Order: sequence, then structure tokens, then C-alpha cells
Amino acid sequence: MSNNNLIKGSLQTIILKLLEENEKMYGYEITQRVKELTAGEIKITEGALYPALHKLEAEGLLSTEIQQVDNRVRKYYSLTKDGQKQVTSKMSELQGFVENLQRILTPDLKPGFNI
Amino acid sequence: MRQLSEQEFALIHARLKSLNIRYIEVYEEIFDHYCTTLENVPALDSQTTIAKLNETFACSVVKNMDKELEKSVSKQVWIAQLEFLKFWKHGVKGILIGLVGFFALAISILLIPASELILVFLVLIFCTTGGIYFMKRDAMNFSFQHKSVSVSSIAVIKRVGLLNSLMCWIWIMPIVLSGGNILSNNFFAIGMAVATILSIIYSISLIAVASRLPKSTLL
Repeated sequence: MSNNNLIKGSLQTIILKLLEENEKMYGYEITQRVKELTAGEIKITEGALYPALHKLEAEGLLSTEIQQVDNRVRKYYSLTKDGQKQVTSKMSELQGFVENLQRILTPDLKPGFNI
Repeated sequence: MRQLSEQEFALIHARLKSLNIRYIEVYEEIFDHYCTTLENVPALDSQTTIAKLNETFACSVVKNMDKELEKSVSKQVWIAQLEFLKFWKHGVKGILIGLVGFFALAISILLIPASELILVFLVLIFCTTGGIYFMKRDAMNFSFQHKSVSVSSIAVIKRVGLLNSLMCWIWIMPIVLSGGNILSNNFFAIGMAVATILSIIYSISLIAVASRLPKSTLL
């Protein structure tokens, strides 16, 4: 999928979900994990990823840890307690949206259809 | 995973420096992204990978990253300031220090003539401001060459700058407009006292936030 606009609205949820499954991750790792999970179908642009990470950090949903790797520093992101609470609500919000979208795109689908 | 050559490091640094990245934090994050990406491709593909990364981290993208980071950190600083102002969370010691400061200021207002109070207030404001500038001196650049600085330091310095400008307007404009006569007015002295107290509380909260923020320096 090449349309990044479709990903934009769900980027924060994707990040939170990935961090729920992995204790801590850094920017490059997140892009690679998304690529791997979607067999390269979804590519998160770095220009959107890093501002989203910083925003989540400012909202108190993510905490950061700096680690020295070789001759550089690496910033790891992990979920805060608030972030852990938010994952469930953000996930159900996104799932509900996808369900409704599916109903619009395929009206023959019965209500209660789950993806 | 392979080790990058000195030449590759130099290429990355040259590229990042040409982007005039404003904040160290953005510089370091992009630098790590470049390095990790290159470590995972064969040395033969290095040039094409760097070219692709240069497109990914185009000037507009980096500027946006700088802007977004500044917004996020500014929000964090504000939240930390508000948290600091909840004096009841500082325990007995914090409350006592606050009370001593408040009474010292109240006594000086009562004892010092209104015309001389402005000097006392200005000294207090300059002391707290000077303290913040000293603590966050890493954010200041007096050379013509571009230097990436810590975003948190800039967020604090900007707030001090705003406070100083505001205080100058509050003090100087009425004095200029009244030809100095307003200095003998008691209402003006009370107004000055209130503005100074607020300014000092704001500055102290900034000093507290500034002392807790990590100092970033480029490796």
C-alpha cells in the first residue's frame, strides 16, 4: 500500500501496540517491525514516525531511555503506565473504525462482523 | 550486521550538518537511523542506501521533526512547571521555603519606599533569569557557525526571554508614559509587587525544571 494518508491516523495506535508487545524499541526497529509484519505492504515514513513518538512522549504515554551503542546514542521508547492503559482503548477505537469502514465498503456484511 | 567505515561516518555527519538540524536530539536520532540502516546492508549498497536516506530525511522532513520535537518538549516543560507549582507536594520543607520567601518579599515591600522598590524587584528578576541562563548556557551559540543545541534548554530559555520582555513592558512603559511620576504611586508599587512575585515563582519553577532536564551533547 503506497497511500501513507491511510496509515497516518492509526500510526500512534500502531506504535503503542508494538511497544506493548516489545518491552522497548527504537525508531529504526519500529519501521522494520512494521515492514516485517506486513510483508513490506506498509512502510512507515520516518518523517511521520519520529514526530509521533515525540508527541506520545510529551503526552506521557511513552518514556525514553538513552543507551550508548558503539560510537553513538540510541533512544529507546517504552510504554509508561498511562501508555499501557491507553493501548486497549486505542486498539478498540481503531478496530471499531475498521469495522465501520468495512460496513461502508461492503454493505452486504452483517452487523457484528469482526475483522 | 557490519561495522561502518570511517568514510561512511564522515558522509553521514557531512549530510546531517548540511541540514542545519536545530536540536541535538533530532540529530542523534537521525544519525542512529542512518547508521543502523547502513549496518544492515552490504557495503556495496552503501552509496545508494545513503542516497535513499537523504531523500527520506529531506530538509523539510528534518525541519518538521525539529518543530514537532520543540512543541512536544515545550508541552513537557509546561506540565513539569505546573507540577512544581503544586507546593503542597513539596512537603514541609518546600512550604517553609515558600513562606520565608513570601514574607521576605512582603517585608521589603512594606519597608522600602515605592520609588526604590523597582530596583529590588529588578535585581530579583535578573538573579533568577541569570541563574536560568547559566544553567542552560549549552543552548547559547555566539559563533556564526550552526550548532545543534538541546531542545529542552531552548524551551526553558525561550520562556525566560518571553518573561523578560513582558516584565520590561510592565515596568518601563508606565514609567516612561508618566515621566517617572508613577514611581511614587502606591498602587503601582503593589502592582509591581504582584507582578514580581508571579515572575519569581515562574522563574523558580523554570529553574527547578531546568535542573531536572538532561543535558544533551553531541558525541
